Amino acid sequence: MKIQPTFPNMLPGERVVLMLHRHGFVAVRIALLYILLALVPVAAWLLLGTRTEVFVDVTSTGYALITLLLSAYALVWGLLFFVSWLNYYLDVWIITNERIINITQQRLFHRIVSEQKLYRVQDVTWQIEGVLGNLLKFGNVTIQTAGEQGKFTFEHIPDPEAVAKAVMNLLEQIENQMGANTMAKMDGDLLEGSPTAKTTGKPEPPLTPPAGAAPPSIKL
Amino acid sequence: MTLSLWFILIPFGLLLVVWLVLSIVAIVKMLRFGFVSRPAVISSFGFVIFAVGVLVATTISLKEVDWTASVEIGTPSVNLPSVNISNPLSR
Repeated sequence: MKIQPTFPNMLPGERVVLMLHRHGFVAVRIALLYILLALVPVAAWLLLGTRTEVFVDVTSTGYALITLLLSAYALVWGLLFFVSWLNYYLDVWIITNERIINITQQRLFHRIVSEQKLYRVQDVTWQIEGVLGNLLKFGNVTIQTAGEQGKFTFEHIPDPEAVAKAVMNLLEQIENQMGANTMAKMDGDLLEGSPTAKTTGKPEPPLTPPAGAAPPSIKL
Repeated sequence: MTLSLWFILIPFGLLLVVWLVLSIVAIVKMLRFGFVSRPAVISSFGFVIFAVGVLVATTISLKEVDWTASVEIGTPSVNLPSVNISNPLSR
């Protein structure tokens, strides 16, 4: 579990409670794969060096071809390794005292950022599965929210139990600060779909249903 | 059919251009979205060092190659290991 004090685009008065990456085991697994892939050109180099005379004459065509191939392999290997590390490292879940931010770096050109106000959290579930998960203590935390996003899943994070507990503690704090009445009012606002004005303090524009549509039902 | 040896540098050059663009994108993304943290900076720096090392090693290794020499297409120029296969019918 990694705690960092700041991140870009923080709201005024916002404080980072948790900043989570996937467990180090996931990074080690990626690294092992790339170490295995690095052995391929080394084996090819040794095999060609001992079984052929291609490296004897450094001016030959065969030498030039093989050197270029090995160089291309090394460059592509390095880039893929770096991009895999990037995909691992830029997958971040940030829990602040106000919201949950889910940043998913799926590929080099595919990045998804979604966030949800903490008071919208309805349910927190954590799970640890498998032998390795139990041994190394990593697993998933699923946070069910009332927004469009529906639920956030923190995958393969270290100590999911502590993370779930931290989220529940934050929720309790928010409930204590706001009081039950305000929370109930916010539940009503969630159904209307415009809760941001309540947290930012800006005046909320009146909701105008489209012509011919039934007015939204408000449940308190 | 004969070709000049420097022709094989064309696909390598194209690969290098694509590789360079993707590398720059990856480094920029890492530094921009990695919150300029120590692992992000160290890994970016490590990648640059590795890439420069590979390119320098390649340049040094290929320094003595005669790129004006022509290559015969269709005939292998690499000395493959000799394989001794005895004809089982001759036993």
